[in-house]
Amino acid sequence: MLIDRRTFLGLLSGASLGASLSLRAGEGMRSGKRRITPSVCDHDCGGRCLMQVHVEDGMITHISSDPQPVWSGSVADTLAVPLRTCTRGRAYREQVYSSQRILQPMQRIGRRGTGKFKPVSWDEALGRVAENIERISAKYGPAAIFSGVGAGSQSALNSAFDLQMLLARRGGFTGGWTSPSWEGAHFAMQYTLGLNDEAPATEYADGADVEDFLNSKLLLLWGWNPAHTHFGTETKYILQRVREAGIPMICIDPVYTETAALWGSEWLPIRPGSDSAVLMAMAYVILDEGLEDKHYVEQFVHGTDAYWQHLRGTNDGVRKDPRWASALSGLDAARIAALARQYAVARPANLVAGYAPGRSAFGEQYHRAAIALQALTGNVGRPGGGAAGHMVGKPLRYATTIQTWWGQFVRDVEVRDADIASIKTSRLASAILGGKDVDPASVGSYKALPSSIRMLYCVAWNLLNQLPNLNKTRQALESLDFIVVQEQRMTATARYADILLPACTMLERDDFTWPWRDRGEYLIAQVQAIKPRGESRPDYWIFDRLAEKLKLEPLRSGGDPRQWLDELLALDDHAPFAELASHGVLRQQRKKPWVAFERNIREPEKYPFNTPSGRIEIASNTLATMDFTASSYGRDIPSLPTYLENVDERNSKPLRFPLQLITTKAQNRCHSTFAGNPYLEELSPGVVWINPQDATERKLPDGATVKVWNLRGCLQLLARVTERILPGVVMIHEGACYQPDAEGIDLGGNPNVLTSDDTSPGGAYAYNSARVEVGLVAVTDG
Amino acid sequence: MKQIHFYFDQQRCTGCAACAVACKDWNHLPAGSAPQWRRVYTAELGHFPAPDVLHLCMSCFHCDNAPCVKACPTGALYKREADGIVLVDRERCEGCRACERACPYGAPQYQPGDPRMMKCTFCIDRQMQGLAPACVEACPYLALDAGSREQLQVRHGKLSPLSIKDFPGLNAEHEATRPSVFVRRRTPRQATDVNEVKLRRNGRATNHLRTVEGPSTAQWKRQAAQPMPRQRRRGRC
Repeated sequence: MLIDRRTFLGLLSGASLGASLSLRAGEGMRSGKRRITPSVCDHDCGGRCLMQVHVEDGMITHISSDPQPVWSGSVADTLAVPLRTCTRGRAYREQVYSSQRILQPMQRIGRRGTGKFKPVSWDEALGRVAENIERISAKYGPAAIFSGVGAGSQSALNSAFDLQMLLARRGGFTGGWTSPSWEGAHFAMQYTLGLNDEAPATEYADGADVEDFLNSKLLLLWGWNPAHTHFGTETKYILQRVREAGIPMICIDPVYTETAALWGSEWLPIRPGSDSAVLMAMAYVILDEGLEDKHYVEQFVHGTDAYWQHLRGTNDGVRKDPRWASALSGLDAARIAALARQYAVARPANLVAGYAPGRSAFGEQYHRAAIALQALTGNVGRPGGGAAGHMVGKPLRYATTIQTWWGQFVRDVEVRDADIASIKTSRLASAILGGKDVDPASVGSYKALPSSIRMLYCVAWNLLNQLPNLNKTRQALESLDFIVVQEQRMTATARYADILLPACTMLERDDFTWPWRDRGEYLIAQVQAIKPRGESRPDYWIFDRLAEKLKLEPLRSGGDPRQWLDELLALDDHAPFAELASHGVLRQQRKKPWVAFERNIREPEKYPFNTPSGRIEIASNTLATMDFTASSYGRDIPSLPTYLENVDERNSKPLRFPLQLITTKAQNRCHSTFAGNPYLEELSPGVVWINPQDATERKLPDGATVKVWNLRGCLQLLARVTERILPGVVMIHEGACYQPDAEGIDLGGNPNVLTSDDTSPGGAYAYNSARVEVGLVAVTDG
Repeated sequence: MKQIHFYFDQQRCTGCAACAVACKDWNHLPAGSAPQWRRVYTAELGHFPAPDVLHLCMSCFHCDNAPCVKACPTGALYKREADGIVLVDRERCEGCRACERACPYGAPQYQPGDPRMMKCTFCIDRQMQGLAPACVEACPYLALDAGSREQLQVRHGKLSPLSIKDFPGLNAEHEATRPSVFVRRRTPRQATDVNEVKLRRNGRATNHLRTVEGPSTAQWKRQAAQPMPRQRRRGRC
């Protein structure tokens, strides 16, 4: 063993970092009964980090990670960014051996939500699933089945999208079209920059390679905290390098985040929901003082004059200047004006528009105003600049075809098959409770629902934790005819299942994956370390057997997963899986950072923007002419970036609900993945961040057990009284396990009992628009 | 005597505790805040709108002048000549907890159900295989390192030993042990009131840098009353 480990290390330190990171792990490293296999998390953080799984006698003994680089004084000196796992990946042994794992197929015996199940065989469980798919689609139509495709597991072969492929062949399904993460950004990107779902995947990109941050003279990190959210394994190293290079990074955020503390040059605490106002006031200063890039604006921007009239208040009499924005945002007017000037002259500058401010009642307006600002300063399509949009990079050269394969398949089927309906995902509870006669606009369907939703099939989707308005969602789940949950652990959603199908973890199967677009150029293998625990099985295996039960053609011919992996890899001309597995990571070093819209700026005649005017549309022609009330959006949307007050209609009384809630990402979870892992839970209890000013008013000492409530629900957790948050704002990390007690109070501290399931007009989830009150547990009863 | 040191770059630490989880994973320690051989303390400084935050990542610092070794009545604690690592011979430990009281860093720790002291071994098992300690290898931000003074000098330039100025809660008692750790200090931002401090460990408020969540003295007395299994003492490694 000793010699083997030494040999292993020797090989590692001798490995060249460049075209390929030669790991010599995996199958080459067997030594008696001990071996080390490479793997990688496939969860929803966008990071893809190398994991080395130590196995002894069929048991995982340790998780280690990328030991590279051997230390050097500056991160900038390292040849390649190390792909080290974060805190969560380090606790993966517990993910596999947790008592929360579902280890056999189960059938519900108690009331929904009580978690009482009896074990059944795979044959019986899948038989019941098939039987109910057939029964419900015969009775109500195929669209009565909602396909709950989650983001909990994002690998090539074990993909939740298999479910939609199966149901499509079976006759149809209802799906969701809004993303909880970035719908506001996506909307703004479509109507401002002209990118939409119909664009070929290679064109569907408005971001830049993360290395391009180093080309900027100024970075504005707006509501973006990659120290917690990761957003790609490489992002944090690049930000360290940006800081070490002395490039100013101004963090605009209601919270003094780790990103602001460590990498930021300045923190501007902004009131949530006022982002578009501040961005508009910056545009006001820039246009008022003539600081815009005139040549660029003339050539590439549509609607500058209309925007200037709008900012001057020609129509509504309200001048959108820094004084106006100051009253809304709490930022000093002079600081807003100074920021605008500093930003306008620092060319190139990158306004990195995080998704979080877009997850609000009028989220798309924030993204539209951010893109407008980048356009006025000539930063869209320029190295060191950025489009301030969706931050979607170009598909990796390494995985172009695979990345578009699944979406393409479903789209093809959609064209052929009429019985696929789509609703706003956050409106699922309304669609279920409203039945067939629900107003299509209210649930985001462009036509009447073909069937009422009677069955739910969730794959790696913990909706009763992550959708807003959980108490309403719970009521909706209780009313359904049949619920299937395919999951690794006993989640809040799993407790509501009629049939539970145990999926195995990524360490128990072969697969491969890749980072989010623009967050690193590599493929990374998941080599099976141990046999699936109990009777849990890989997702592909489950869908394969289900296809059989439904008397459908199998999704893939033959029966060897390694062969299927080879076929997937061959789509992009890669070597077979065995070779990827022997390397662990296949890495491509980029020559020069890629920037979206660079060619539109360089060759405008040949590549105009894909908007009606062929330019970046601050004033959107589509928004001005199309009747959005008759679309699946169902609401009117202004054609110019507009500040609209952040509302929570149900909890609008300012005296009853004076505090603004924001829900952000925790360092020790990835959404609800890793929730309940004791090695991670020990690092922080569930807390609500509250400023001492608000805490004193309510007599809340630091560490006290408090309730947070509004008319949608109530939860219980500990108060973290801290100077790091803006007064008037409270913050709770999303993803904690929803555990309602007998009175419906969530003891798990999940903020989604408080959030609204109504969306912004552009479809964005309004996670950051809820208003709440906080009080000591003993005092607030009743 | 030779001495191996830790190196901690406070300018890179985000307090993520990947080091702490990796330590538990490698050393197969149970979940919970005790024992926690590697742990991160967070200090919140100042007032809104000019707050700041500092982290101090701690383990046993294998002190040059180790108070735990001096305090141990049975000689179970010892400092290795070869590399200065402080280890405990668990078979000689009688669980009197004198080391726990003597160490200002909270490095000697107890876990529930185990009357004998346990502590950071500087991953001596990994080092014997030529690997870096688990915490060092784990840090996603490259904020931790380990090595001899000479090695660390080559990699990081001028080295500063841990000082009172590095973190609130450190005092003369900490400096007096001559801990084997170098720190690259992060200076709080201008305008931050450094006198206004809130210390946290594992997200909860604390007012010192010790770890005290081990079994209570009463629990310990019950455990200690059980006869210790007699085992042949293995030689020191």
